[in-house]
Amino acid sequence: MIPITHFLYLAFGLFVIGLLGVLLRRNVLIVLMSVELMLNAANIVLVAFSRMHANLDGQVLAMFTIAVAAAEAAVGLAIVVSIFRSRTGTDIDDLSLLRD
Amino acid sequence: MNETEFNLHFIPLFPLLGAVFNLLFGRLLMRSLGDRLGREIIHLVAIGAVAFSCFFTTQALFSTMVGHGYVRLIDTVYPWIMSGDVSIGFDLVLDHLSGVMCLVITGVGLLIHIFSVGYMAHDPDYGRYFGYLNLFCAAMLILVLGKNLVLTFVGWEGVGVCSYLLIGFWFTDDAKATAGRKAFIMNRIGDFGFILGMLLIYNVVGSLDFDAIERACASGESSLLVTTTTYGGFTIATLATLLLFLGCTGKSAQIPLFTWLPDAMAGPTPVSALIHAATMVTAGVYLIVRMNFLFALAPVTMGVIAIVGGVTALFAATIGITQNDIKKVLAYSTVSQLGFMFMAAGMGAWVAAIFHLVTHAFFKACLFLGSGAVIEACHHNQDIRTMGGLKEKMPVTAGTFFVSCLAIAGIFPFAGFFSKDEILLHVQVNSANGLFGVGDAGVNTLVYALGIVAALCTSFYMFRLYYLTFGGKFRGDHHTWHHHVREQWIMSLPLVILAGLATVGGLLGWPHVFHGAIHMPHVLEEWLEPIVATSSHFAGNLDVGVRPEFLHEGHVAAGKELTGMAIGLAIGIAGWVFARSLYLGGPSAQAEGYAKRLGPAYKASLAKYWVDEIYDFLIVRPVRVIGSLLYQVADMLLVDGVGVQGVSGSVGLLGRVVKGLHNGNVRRYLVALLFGFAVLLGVIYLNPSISRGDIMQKDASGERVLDPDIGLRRTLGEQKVKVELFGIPLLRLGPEDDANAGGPGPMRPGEIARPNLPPPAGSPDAPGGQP
Amino acid sequence: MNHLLTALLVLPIVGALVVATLPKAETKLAHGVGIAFGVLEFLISIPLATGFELGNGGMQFETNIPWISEFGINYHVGIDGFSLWIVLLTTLLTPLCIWGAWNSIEKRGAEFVAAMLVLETGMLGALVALDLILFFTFWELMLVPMYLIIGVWGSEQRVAAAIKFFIYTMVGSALMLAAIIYLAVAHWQATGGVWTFDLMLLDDLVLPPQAQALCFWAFVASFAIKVPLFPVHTWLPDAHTQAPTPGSVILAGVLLKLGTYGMLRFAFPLFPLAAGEGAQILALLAIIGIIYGALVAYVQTDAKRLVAYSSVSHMGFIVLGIASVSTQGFTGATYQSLAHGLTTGALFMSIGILYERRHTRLISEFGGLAKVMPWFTAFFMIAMLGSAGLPSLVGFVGEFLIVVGAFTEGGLTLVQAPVLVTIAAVGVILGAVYLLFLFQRLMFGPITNPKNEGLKDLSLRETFVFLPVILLIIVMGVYPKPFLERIDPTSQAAVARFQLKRCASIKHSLAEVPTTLDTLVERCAEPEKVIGETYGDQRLSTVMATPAEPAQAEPPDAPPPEGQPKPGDDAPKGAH
Repeated sequence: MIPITHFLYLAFGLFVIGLLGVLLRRNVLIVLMSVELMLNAANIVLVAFSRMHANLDGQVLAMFTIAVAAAEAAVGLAIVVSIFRSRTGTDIDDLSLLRD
Repeated sequence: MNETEFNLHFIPLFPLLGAVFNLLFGRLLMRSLGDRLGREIIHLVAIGAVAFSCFFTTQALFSTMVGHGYVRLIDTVYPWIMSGDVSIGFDLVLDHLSGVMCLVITGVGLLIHIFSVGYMAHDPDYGRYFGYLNLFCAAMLILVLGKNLVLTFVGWEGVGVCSYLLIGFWFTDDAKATAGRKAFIMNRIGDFGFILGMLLIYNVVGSLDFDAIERACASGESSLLVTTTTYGGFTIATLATLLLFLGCTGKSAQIPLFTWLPDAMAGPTPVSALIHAATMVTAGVYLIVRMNFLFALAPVTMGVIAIVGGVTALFAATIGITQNDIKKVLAYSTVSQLGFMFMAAGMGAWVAAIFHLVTHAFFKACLFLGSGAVIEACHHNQDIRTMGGLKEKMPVTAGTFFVSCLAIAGIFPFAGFFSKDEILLHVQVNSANGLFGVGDAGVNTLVYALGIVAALCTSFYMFRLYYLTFGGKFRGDHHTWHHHVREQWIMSLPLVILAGLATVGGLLGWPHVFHGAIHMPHVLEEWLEPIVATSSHFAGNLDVGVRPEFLHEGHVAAGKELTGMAIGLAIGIAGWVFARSLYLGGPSAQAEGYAKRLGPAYKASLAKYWVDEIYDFLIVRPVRVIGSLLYQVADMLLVDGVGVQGVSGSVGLLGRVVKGLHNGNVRRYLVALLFGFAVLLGVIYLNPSISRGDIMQKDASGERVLDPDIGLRRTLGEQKVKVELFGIPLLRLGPEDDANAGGPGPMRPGEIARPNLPPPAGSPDAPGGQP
Repeated sequence: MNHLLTALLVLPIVGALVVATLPKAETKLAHGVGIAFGVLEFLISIPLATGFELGNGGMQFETNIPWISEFGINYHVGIDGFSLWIVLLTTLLTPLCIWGAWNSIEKRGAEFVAAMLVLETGMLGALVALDLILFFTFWELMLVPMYLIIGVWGSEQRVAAAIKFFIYTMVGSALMLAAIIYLAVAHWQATGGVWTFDLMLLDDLVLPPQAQALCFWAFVASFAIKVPLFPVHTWLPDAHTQAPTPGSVILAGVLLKLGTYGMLRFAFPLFPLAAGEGAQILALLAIIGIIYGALVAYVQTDAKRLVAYSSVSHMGFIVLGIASVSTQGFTGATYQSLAHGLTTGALFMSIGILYERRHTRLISEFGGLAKVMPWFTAFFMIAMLGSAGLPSLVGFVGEFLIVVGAFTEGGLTLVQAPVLVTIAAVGVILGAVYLLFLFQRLMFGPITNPKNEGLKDLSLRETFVFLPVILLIIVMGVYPKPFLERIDPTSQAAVARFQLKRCASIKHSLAEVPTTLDTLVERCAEPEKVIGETYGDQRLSTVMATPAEPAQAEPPDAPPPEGQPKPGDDAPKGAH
C-alpha cells in the first residue's frame, strides 16, 4: 500500500512547479498552463484522501475541478486571444489595468 | 396674624400691561397719530398704569391693614413650577414690609414717570422708554410681592434686565451699551450666589416659601439650618446667607460688585433716579430684611454684611469727593448710602435699614431728578466744573436740591438725620457676634468709625456738588447760559413733592428719646414689628436684633443716644461748612491746594481706585484668554487636530500605503497570496489546538467538552498525518502521539490505514472500493 | 390601537413624494406644498397634547403591529411625557423652517422640501419608536436628509462639515447597534428562547454588571455624540456653521434633543447599574461642556459658531439633569430640551435672517442694527434672554429644575453634587457674558458699516415664522404648568423604575447571565435602602450632616467597583 504521504509529496511537487510557473513566467499562456498544473495537484490530493476514507466525495469534487478547469481554460484562452489582439503581446506584466 | 385672599396680582399686572402696550404700539402711535398725540397717549398709559398700582396698593393697605393689627393679603395666582416634591407657586403676599416697599416703588415711581414726560419730551423712542419703565415697575413689584424666593428671583432678574435695557437706552453710543452689559453681568455674578443660596435653603427646608423658611428658623439655635454644617464647618444658615449676600452685593452695588452702578449713569437720568437710587438697588436690603430670621441665625454673615456695608460706605464716599460728573457723584453717594443700609442690616437693625431705604428713596430721587433738570438745562453737559450759578436760572431745582442735600447730610430735622442716626446708634450699641473671632466691641467700633467718617465725607461732597452746580458764577459757555432750558412745571412738581417728603420723612421714625418733647410713635418700628418678630426672639449668641431697652421710652441709654445724635449733627454741619468754605464761589485755589497736598490719595480717588482696571486685568481678560486658548488649543488642536484629524489622517495614511501595493501586477498579487497562505499554514502548524482539532465547547450543562464538529478532526478521524520536507515537519495532523509527547523523536511517516468506520452502507458500489 | 402616530409618520413621506413629483422649476410651489403638509402634520399632532391623559406616566397612543416576527421585531410606537413635547416641537419647527427658507433656498427647492419632510419622519420615528430596531432604522434615516441638507444647501465648506457630521454619528451608531443586538440575544437567553426587540419587553431584563457597562457606554457613545457632549462636540460647530438656516434650526431644535432623549429613554432605564455609576462621569463631562462651551463661545468671531458653542454649553445642563437621576432632573432635562430647541432655534433663525441680507456671519460686520431693525432686535433679545435663562422665560424653568435635582438628589459621588452645581452655575454667568456680547456687537453701537444702513426689518413672512417661537418662549416661562404636568408623571415613574431596576441589578450583580426583573422584584421592596447600603446615602443633607468633612467625603462603605460581588448578595450562578 502506498502511504498517503507519497501522494502528498507528488501533489506538493506538482503544485510548486505550477506555482513557480505562475509566479515567474510572464507569458500568459504559460501562466494558464501552470494554473492547470496546480489544479491537478489539488485533484491528486482530493482523490488520495477520497480513497483513504473510502468516500467518494473527494473524487466527485475532482471531477468538478476538471470540468471547471476545462471551462477556465476555454475562457482564459479566449481572453488571451483578445488581449493579444488588442495589445499585440501576451506579457502579463503589461496588464496592470486592475490597478485603476 | 390674619390672612386674606386678595387680588394682588393687579398691582404688577397694570404696569406690565402698560409696558406691553407701549412696547408694541408706541412707535406705531407716534407715527400714525402724529408726534404730539402719540406721546400723550403713551405717557398717559404709562403714568396711568403706575398710578393705578399706587392707588390699588394704598387702598389695599389702608382699607385692610392699617389699624387692623397684623393682616396679610395673599394671592395664590397659579402653581408655577411643579415637579415631584418641588412646588413653586406664583404666590404674592402683601404684608407690612412689602406694603412699605410697594408704596415707595409706586409712589416714587409715579413721580419719576411724571418727571420723565418733561425730560424725555423730545426723545424719538418715547414709547420704548415708557414701556421699559413700566416693565421695570412690574418686575420690581413682583420682587417685593413674591411670597417665595424663586418669585423674588423672578423680579430680581427682571429688574436687572430692565436696568440693562434702560442703561443702554441710547444704544447707539457703544459706551452706554457696554455700561448696560456690565451691569447685567455683575448682577449675574450676584445671582450666581442667589441661586446657590436658594438651593442650600431648599435642601434643608424643603421649600422656598418665606413662611416655610421662617418656620424652619423659628427654633433659633436648634434649627436644622444651624445644626447642619457643611464645608469648612459653616452652618447651612451661614453659607446660604453669605451666598444670598453675594446676590445682594451685585444688586445693591456693594464691594466687590459695585463698579457697575457709577457706569449705569449712562442711562437717562430719571432712570437713574428710579432704578439706581430709589428702588432696584435697595432690593438687596429688602431681601435681607425679608429674610431677617435666617440672617439672624448666621452671626458670621451679619458681621460680614456690617463690615462690607461700612467699608463700602466710606470707600464710595471718598470717591464721591473728587468726581466731577454730577451724576457720578450721586452714583457714588448712592453706593455709600446703600452701605449705610447694609451696615444697619448687619447689625440686626432691620427697621433702621428700611427707614433709611425709604428716606434715601425720597432725597436721592429728588437729587437725581434735580440733576436731571440741570443736565437738561445745560444741554446734556454733566461736568460740574463748567456749571455754577444755576440757582439764578432754576430756583425751584436749586431749592429742592438744597433740601435734599440737607437731608442726606443728616441735618436736623430733615429725613436723613433720623434714619442715619438710627443706624449709627444701632452700630454703636448693638452687637455683632463672633466674626472671625473679633469681639463685639471691635466690630462695632470699626463699623461705627467707618460710618462716622463716611457721613462726614457725604456731607462734604454733597455740598461741594451743590455749590459747584448752583452757587457762584456760571463757568460754562455763553450759549448755554443764554439758551438755558426753562424749568417746566411737570419736572418741578415731582421735585417739590420729593423735597417735601425728604423734609418730613423723618417723622416715620420719631426717636424714642424725643418723646419728652413731642410724643409720637416710631411709626415704622411698630409697623414692621411683626416682620422682625421671629428674629427678635433669638437669644444668646444670635441676639443681633434691636435691644429691648431701645423699644421703650425712658431707657438708660438716652444720654448715649443724644450724644450720638449730636456727633452726627456735628459732622454733618462740619462737612457742610468745610465744603461751603472751599466751593461757595466755584472751585477755589484752596481746594486745589488741598488736592495737590493730598497728591496720590487725590489721584487714587479721582481714578476710582482703579477698581475697574484691576477687575479688567484680573477677571475679564483672563476669561477671554482662557476662552481663546481653549478654542485654539483644546478644540482646534487637540480634539479636532489630534483626535478627529488624527483618526481620519491615519486612515488616509494607511490607505496610501496599501494603495502602493495595488499596482495591478497580477504576479505580485500572487506572491502576496502565497505569502498569506504560508502565514496561515504556519499559524495552523504552530497552534496545536487547531491542528489537533481541539476545539472546546460548552455543552448544555456548562461543562467544557470537545466539539466533535470543528476542525480537521472530522476529516482525519483518528488518523495521524505528518508531512515533512527535508526533515522539517510541515504538517502534523491528528491526535498527539503520546509516545512522542516527551521529546522530538524521529518522525515516522504516517500510513494510509483503513478508517475504523465501516464503509458507508449505502455505497457498496463505490468506485474505489477497498485496496 | 391608535393610529395617530402612524399618520404622523406617514404624512411627511407622502408629502415628500408629492413634492418630488412636482415640476422642477416650481420652487415656490414645492415650498407651498411642503408648508401645507407641515402645517397639516402639526395640526394632527395637536390631539397628542390635548388627548394626553394627565397623571399617566406610561405610554400612550400606542400601536403595536408585528413586523419581522421571526426576530420579534415589531412596529411598536407610542409616546409618553418624555417624547410628547419634543414631537410637537418637531412638527412645529418643520413647517416654520420650510417657510423660513422661502427665499433663501432657491436652488433645488423641491428636493430641499422633500429632504426636510423625510427628516421630519425620521425624527418623529426616532421619538415615538418603542422597538429598538425600529428606533435604529429611524435614527439612521434621520441622518441621510440632514447630511444632504448640510452637504447640498450649506455654505462654503459644506461637504467637509457634512462628512464630519455623518462619520461622527455613524461611529456612535455602530456601537449602539451592537448593543441592541446583544440585548435581544440576552433576552433570548433569559427567557429561554423568546426573540424581541421591543423596548417594553427588554425593559424587564436585568443584565449582569459587565454587560450593563459595555452596553451602557455603547448607547451613550451614540447619544453623547448626538448631544454633543464634550469632547465629541467638534462636529457641531462645523455642521451648524455650514448648514443652511433651516438645517441649523432643526439640528439645534430637535436633532440634538434626540441624544438626551435617547439617554432618558434607553441608556438609563435599560442599564441602571452601569448608569448609576456612569452618571458621575456623564455629569463631569456635562459640567466641563458647560464651562468649556461658554468660554469658547465667548471668543468666536462667527455669530453662528458662537451660538453653536452655546449649544454645547446648554446641552451640558440637560445631561447634568439626566445624570442626577431625579424627578426634577428628568423633568428639567426634558423641559430644558424644549427651551433650548426654541431659544437656540430662534437665535439661528435670527442669524439666518442676517445672513440672508448680508451674506456674512461675521460679528464684526454688524453693529447698530437695533436702529434699522427694531422688531428683529426685540425678537432676538427675547430669544437671547430666554437662552440665558432669565426667569419668566422658558430657559429658567428647566435650568432651575435641573439644578434643584442635581443639587438635592445627587446620585453623584465622584465629585460632590454641590460642587458640580456650583461650577454649572458659573456657566450661567458665562452664558450671560457671551450672549450679551453677541447682542451688543450685533445690535448696539453706531452703524459702522454703511451696508447695514439699508437693512430691512422683518418682513411679514419672517415675523410670522418668528412669532410662534417667541410666544412659546414667553408662555412656557410664565405658565409652564400644562407642559410640566404632562412630563412629570413620566419622570416620577422613570425614576422609581430606575431605582427598582438598579436595586435588582445589585442583587443580581454576581451572575454572569441575564435574567428578568420578575425573578428579583420581591427582593427589592425598598430599592433606596439597598442602593443606600451599597453606595452610601448620597443625599446632600446627610453628606453635609457630618461636620467639617472634606469635599470628597465618601461614605465609610465605599461602593464596590463595578461588577465585584458584595457579601450577602446572590449566590453565583456560574463558576469563574
